[in-house]
Amino acid sequence: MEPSISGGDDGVGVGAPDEGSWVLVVLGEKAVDGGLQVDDHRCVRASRVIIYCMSLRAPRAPGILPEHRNGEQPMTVKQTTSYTDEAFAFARELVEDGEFGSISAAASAALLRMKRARDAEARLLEAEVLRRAQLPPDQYVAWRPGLLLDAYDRAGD
Amino acid sequence: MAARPAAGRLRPGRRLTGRPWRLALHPLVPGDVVRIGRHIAEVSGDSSAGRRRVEEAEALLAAIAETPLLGAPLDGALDGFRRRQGGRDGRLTAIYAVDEAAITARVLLVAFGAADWTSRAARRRDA
Repeated sequence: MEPSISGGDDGVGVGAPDEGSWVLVVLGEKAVDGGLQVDDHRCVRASRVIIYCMSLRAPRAPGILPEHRNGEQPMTVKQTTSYTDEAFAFARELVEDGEFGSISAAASAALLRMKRARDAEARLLEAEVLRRAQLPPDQYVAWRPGLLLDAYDRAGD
Repeated sequence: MAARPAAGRLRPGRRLTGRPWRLALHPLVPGDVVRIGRHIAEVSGDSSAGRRRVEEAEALLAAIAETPLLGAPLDGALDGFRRRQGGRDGRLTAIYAVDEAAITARVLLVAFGAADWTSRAARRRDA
């Protein structure tokens, strides 16, 4: 069987230059790749659309994908995902530059970075709310319509 | 210190007394909104865009004053507080507490999206 997908160590769906990109659709138990059986997935040729990172290599322990280079965390969940052209091109650039071992690793790292940033913001927001909650109620300012606009206009003067 | 409101004692939609809710702002809230407006004006290069955001914040506060119990209750460390989002894309966030006894909603903070909380808090810590 001719492999339909080449590339990264987790079988990132980056076609050879003349192949364009691929979309891989998980169908379940049975699947074909252009009429050929490929693991339990079906590969559908598409143009610059969706890249799915999956393994076409030897079977591993169920549910566990390989660790990647550069100390990246192991890929433990297989999901079908879509990328914009721009996002995918950037992810591929990172992989080609050796910054990440696979598109999966690059996408995971970006999401984790966003999560950490959000967590940090949430903690700070929380701390700020709790700090403000120390103020006695009688020191609050009564709101009336237009109060904020007045403050904004005054600040602009 | 402002007493933390009891969570879940009154559900949205239930009539309280028929009297309108009062809305009170933490003294730093107007500054929050002014900074949001300026930030939008600066990054967009459109001063009217900044003012529109402030108008959206006004609308958000008006909505809270109208139906304070509709805000999403928060949990964890912010248990007892509520969050309400507004604005064109829902990026304005108000955190407030409902004091049923005083028929008052107290707004503690208004933020825009991530709203530079990281840098602002860092500056405050350094001060």
